[in-house]
Amino acid sequence: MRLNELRDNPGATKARKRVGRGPGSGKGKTAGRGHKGQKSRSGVAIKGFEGGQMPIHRRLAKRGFTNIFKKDLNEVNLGRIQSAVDKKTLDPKKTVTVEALLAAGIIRRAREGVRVLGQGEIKTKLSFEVTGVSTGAQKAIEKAGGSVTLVPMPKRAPKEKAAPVKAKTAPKSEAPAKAEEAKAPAKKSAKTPAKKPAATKKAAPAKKPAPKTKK
Amino acid sequence: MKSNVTTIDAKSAGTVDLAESVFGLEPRVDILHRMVRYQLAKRRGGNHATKDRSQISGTSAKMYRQKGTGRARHGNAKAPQLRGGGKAFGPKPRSHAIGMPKKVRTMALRHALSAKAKAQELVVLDKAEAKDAKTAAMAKKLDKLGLHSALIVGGSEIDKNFGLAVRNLPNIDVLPVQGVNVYDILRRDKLVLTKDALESLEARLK
Repeated sequence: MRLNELRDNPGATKARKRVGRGPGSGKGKTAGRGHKGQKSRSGVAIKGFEGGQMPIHRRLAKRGFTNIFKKDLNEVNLGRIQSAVDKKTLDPKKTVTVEALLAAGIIRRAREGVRVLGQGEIKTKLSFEVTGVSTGAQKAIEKAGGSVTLVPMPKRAPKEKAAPVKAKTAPKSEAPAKAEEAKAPAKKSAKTPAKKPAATKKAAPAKKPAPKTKK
Repeated sequence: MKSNVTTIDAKSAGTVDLAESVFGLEPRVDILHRMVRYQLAKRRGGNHATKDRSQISGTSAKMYRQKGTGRARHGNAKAPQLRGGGKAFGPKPRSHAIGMPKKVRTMALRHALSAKAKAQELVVLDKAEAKDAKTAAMAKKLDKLGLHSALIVGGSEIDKNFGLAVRNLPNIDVLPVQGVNVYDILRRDKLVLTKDALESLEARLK
């Protein structure tokens, strides 16, 4: 077979419609747009207009909303992680973090956090440090001898929010997190009294601190 | 399917089995046609460009007043209907590539190999090597093998002397196995595969 013998199947391609190329073409004068009026002009699209009848997109009730608190997470399934470990792109001795997943090419770009989901199987013992984990995935990881520590994503998360999130997620996680939990309240108690008076002083006029001291 | 193996000195060197799923297909002309079109479209540079009216240098001032000159109405001199004006809807740099699914592309390679095998235009060499880089000697050898227009596919690396010896021969192309493609196969009369190339192709396409 040579290059000059190649051809596509008959009917595989359709000839382009050439519009406005003279009366002989059949699409000459008005180029298939009829005579005059809005729809014969360029740039016009009368979408969803039903001749004055209440159009379908207004006839039906509005529904749903956009959750402004929605987190844009990377979803990673266990099977994908296992295959990366098998291919040796992911080091099973190190903790699995966002950076490790990025380096292994499992996630293309980091979003607001990583959530581990339970599809596929995991056999290797791995310790995770991620934003979220599904119950099934956690069970599977622990069954394989691994552990999960939940960490909030530092990016975008405001400082004050970070502390309570840690406290919430701590019960799920294991030993290292518990140590952190013990530290966290201590830090809070140390910091917050110092900060709060400062804040109130700035916000409130000079009168307010005085009654406080009396009480 | 069996095929004879020859050495570069046109001596017999046994036979090899060709995989039916790679070399034994009924060639589909339409797929080969699409693949060649894909390759030729994709290799186009697409760096053609013209200037539209906003890119022509010059003043944007009105050429002369609207009324009373006895001449036609005009705005600025860069308009496309005027000499020296910008081009309306001219070519702009773009990719000419057309889409084609990966699986169909590998299928096209299988069909190209099958087409060569079916037309008895497939030659299997044991090795594509040369002692020294002499073109005249190599030309004689290829002549003996009946190769006047051929694509020779070597292993993952081409023997240096062989590559040099063949380089200046008209209508003889050499490619390492990872570079094998439908267009280059169909461009020449014969396809020559070394044993190495055959092995890695079958591993890839089976």
